[in-house]
Amino acid sequence: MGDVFAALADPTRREVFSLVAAGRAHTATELAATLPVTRQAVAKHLAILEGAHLVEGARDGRATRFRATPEPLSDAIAWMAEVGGRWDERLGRLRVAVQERGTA
Amino acid sequence: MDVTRDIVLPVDRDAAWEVVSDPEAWLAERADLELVPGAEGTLDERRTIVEEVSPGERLAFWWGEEGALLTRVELTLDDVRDGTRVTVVESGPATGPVASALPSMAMVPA
Repeated sequence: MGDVFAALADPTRREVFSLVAAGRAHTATELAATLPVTRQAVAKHLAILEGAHLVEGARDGRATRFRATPEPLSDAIAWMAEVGGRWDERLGRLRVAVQERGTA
Repeated sequence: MDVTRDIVLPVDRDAAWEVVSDPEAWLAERADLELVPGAEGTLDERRTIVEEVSPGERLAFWWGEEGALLTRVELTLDDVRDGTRVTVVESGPATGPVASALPSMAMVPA
């Protein structure tokens, strides 16, 4: 889960992911035809996205076809919302504690 | 993957640090933890390992519930016009090299 945002930090990789997620391209060759990068670069991006479990490749004859598996993304967003919410509460308590000491 | 929050406290940095560095004032109901680098203890049910304690400036630690991966928390204090800004960054969960670096860090003499 920790790799999700790192995987999407690169703008080209975000584009690769969104093309695959939108179903507009499924293979490294198709992606390279759409994006201004080489097939080799696309393959590297796909490997990183696959490492973060954001896409999944399956052999189809000589090519590997990718589909998006965005579940880790919603896990990551849920984690950020939960952790952020807890810090909002703690910082609220910190503010109160500082005020209490100031008037003690 | 980081979560960042901040708050401005209407007091100077020393006063802010005094409260920030008192876990039971705001971080946990029960703190069993010495705030020295390398110390290991608990904040409520969370196992916690202290990484850095720079009075008035920064406090960093790792924590996680039983069986969960540890996440890193860094609290930084800055002077701002209206007082002191406390910024918190929680990163994680720790995987790979960061997680494997932990046991050695925990053995830093207190």
